[in-house]
Amino acid sequence: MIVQQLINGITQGSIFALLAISFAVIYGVLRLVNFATGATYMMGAFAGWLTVRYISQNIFLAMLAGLCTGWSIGFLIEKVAIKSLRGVARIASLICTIGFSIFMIEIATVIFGAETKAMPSFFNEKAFTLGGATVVWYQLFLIGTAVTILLLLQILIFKTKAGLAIRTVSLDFKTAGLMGINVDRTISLAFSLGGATAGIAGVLGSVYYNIVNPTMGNLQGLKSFSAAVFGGLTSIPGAILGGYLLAIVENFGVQIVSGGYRDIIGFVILVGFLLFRPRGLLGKKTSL
Amino acid sequence: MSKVLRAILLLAVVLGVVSNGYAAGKQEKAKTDEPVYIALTAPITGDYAEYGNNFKRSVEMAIDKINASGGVLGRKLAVLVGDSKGDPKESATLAQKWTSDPKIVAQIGDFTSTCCLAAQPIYDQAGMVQLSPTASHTKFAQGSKWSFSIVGTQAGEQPFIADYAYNKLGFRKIAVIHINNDWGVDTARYFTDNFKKLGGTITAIENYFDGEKDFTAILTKLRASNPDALFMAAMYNDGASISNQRAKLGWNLPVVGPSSLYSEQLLKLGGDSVNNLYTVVSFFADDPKPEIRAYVTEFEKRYGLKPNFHAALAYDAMMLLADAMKRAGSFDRDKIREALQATKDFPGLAGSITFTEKGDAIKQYTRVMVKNNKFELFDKR
Amino acid sequence: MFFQMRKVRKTFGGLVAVNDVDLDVQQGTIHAVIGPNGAGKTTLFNCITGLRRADAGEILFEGENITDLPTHRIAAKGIGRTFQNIRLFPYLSVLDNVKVGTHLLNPTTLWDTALKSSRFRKLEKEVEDLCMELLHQTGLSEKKDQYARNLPYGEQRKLEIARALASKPKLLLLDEPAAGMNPAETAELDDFIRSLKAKGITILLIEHDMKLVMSIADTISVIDYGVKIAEGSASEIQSNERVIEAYLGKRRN
Ligand SMILES: Nc1ncnc2c1ncn2[C@@H]1O[C@H](COP(=O)(O)OP(=O)(O)OP(=O)(O)O)[C@@H](O)[C@H]1O
Ligand SMILES: [Mg+2]
Repeated sequence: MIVQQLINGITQGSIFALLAISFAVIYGVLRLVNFATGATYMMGAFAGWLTVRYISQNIFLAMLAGLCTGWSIGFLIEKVAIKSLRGVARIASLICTIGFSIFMIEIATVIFGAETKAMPSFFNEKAFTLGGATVVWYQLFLIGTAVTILLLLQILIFKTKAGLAIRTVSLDFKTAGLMGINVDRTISLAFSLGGATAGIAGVLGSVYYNIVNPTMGNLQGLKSFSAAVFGGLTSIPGAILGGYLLAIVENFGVQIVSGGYRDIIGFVILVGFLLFRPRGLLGKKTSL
Repeated sequence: MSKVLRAILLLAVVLGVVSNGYAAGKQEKAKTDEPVYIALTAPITGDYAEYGNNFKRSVEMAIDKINASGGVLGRKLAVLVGDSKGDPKESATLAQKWTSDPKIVAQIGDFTSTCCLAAQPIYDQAGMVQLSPTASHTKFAQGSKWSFSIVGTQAGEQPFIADYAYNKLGFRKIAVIHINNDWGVDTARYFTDNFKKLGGTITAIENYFDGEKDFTAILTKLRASNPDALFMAAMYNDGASISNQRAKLGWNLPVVGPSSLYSEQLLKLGGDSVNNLYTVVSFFADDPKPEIRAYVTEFEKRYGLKPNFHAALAYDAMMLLADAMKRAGSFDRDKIREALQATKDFPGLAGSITFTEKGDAIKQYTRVMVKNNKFELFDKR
Repeated sequence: MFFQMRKVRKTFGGLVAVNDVDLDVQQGTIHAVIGPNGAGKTTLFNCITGLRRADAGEILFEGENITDLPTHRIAAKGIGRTFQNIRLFPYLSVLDNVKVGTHLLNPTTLWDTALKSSRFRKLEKEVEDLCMELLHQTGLSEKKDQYARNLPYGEQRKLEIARALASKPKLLLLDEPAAGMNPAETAELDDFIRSLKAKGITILLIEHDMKLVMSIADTISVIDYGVKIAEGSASEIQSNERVIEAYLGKRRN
């Protein structure tokens, strides 16, 4: 049972970690919480759903669709909420991301209807049992994919030129500009990357839970935000750690205390860290 | 400066698009020749949006039908739809809006018991009928003489289900999962009390909050209590998710639950994982009765989907309200309430309706089960 | 003309920090800007590099108007700078700090990186070599993997210069590079700046260390209260009365 809870936690944590990274990449470069992350997750899920429903029952194609959708949404949010509002109080951009979130949920409701849709399972056969815990192949697939994406992002940010640009903008965008880095383009890239990560997470999550609906990203987005704060909003490794830890803590919280307390656990962590250690477990004061 | 302006404009556009969708619908109707207005409060957006939209569909369909046959007392009916988003605060705000508008004669809604209870004092003070199709919390109808519910209470339904589980299905040990809101707590309590009264054992109880999508932790915990069956006090969407995740965990056992699980959506979303699920209904869409066939066919034609229990209840609510207005011979808020209270054997799609003194409907139930991904009558086996 | 400023003006509220300044810089020279504290020298640099927008006037570089370009475009034209109060990226390694400077030279895209194209490998190698060479020149190669924030002050100054040079600028702006250096280090700096000139880099230098300025500057401009009050060779400036007055008559610090 302990093993099962751990596996449940790691699976759920993979989704949290992807979304937490989406928050962290964007917060890193702009010190802005993108509250449209949950809605982007939802839109990614719908893109995946449309793909398997109308094009091909292929999860990889669905993930590609989620990625592209998320990427475009991130790009668009940056153009509207950030670029056109440059120089206005930060709060305007923040509110604008909330507006985007509402807007996307409404659009999805209008286009697809409020009814929950069924997302088919993939690789749903039992892979193995371990200490009484059942693991299906899809869980391994989900965890593996998430870890791969997280590693790729890690490489992108810490080993490439574009990543160096993102890190410098995150540390000091003015100086970065003076060094010849195109700050606008870098911010735009960070938003697209964050969006793409959320979009893929949407597909992975919807296949795991077998459902797609316009509000599926709300709680997911909120919890991942907690996870990101938990690990350190300004640290990519921190966000990953936060995602996994939050899910594992929640799952064991359910086991030890009760299901009714699971959200409370998440939000106590959020408030606790915001109050006493705002930079989270791994966040440095000013680093991505 | 111009940037600030741009920010404001942008927000206005975003919010405008969002709210316009609803405003447009309203204004259109307000133009017709002095109709009689009914307010509908329902979660049109948010987590419960699909239930709210079913309300809207059914009520609009009922009104069209009533108007096509000459309206009520020579006047056409029209509905004003308010979106409570499943949020009790919104529901209460809408109640304020409806009751202060003299054009509105009665209100249908809201969907959840929690929302209905939050709005109740406002309808009670202002004196307007609050007719909920679905609020099944025992405290609701008895809370005010203006409050009525036609779904039947959990106090009526759960003894029937407990008997089904214990005597008909032979379960002795049951684990319970319920949503943590007024309805879920009430449902779980009435079920466990009645099941224990019959001699059964409740092995474990767990709850979850609105919007939760991951049930694996709770299910893993419940599984360890080793029950014969799982009782699931959930709406059909959550019910399907819970079943899917249960199957992924490799945990196969029969499931019992309240009538809120009865929906084609449960089958669509849950797939094979919802086979071997037992529930009761007072509306069965595959019922061969002509009035039910007529309703189902029309609903499918208009909206492209099969109506469920909640949709049928909303239809009943509107038809019942029109009937009460006819019997009252007036659109006076008070008179409508009196006529509604006097309802006896009104032939609804979801069973005939007679109100108790407190305003609850007494229902009849039919046992059903899911087999080969279809709802079937249990007793026909 | 290589670099020109025409009636550049910058105000902060009521304070005129840069007051209709004209400045011509000849290619291949070392041009110093001196003046008392608060005279407006750094603000002048900020206007040139786009960190602050001039309120009026224009700035021409190689005949092109760069007054209103964004900072990264100005950098791309070939203007690099260091800062009076050091602005390194504290949580990047020493090597990464220099690499940031090469950003402009390195046209590889994400695709190149993903595909590890031969172009990418070649450019990557060039960048790496350039950075290491600059670190050697500045004596920082041993510390290339440390966080920049952990370097002592003098070395942070050197790193800033290395970073600025990494973009292979044609015009290099140095804002008080000798601040906080001991005489031995300053002498080293003197040589180093000369070596840059020898490589053909034009240098615009703000410096309070008069010994250094008089020794290396080809031309000196003096600014006081935002106004350019004198310009000329070291000897001309040393004997200019307005300059003496500005420095001695009403020293403000
Ligand atoms: N952002 C700002 N807001 C308001 N005033 C400013 C700002 N930046 C500089 N100033 C003022 O403008 C004037 C010129 O400042 P600047 O930093 O350019 O002087 P400086 O010549 O570089 O002096 P120092 O030799 O001390 O570095 C000073 O009076 C300073 O207080
Ligand atoms: Mg200065």
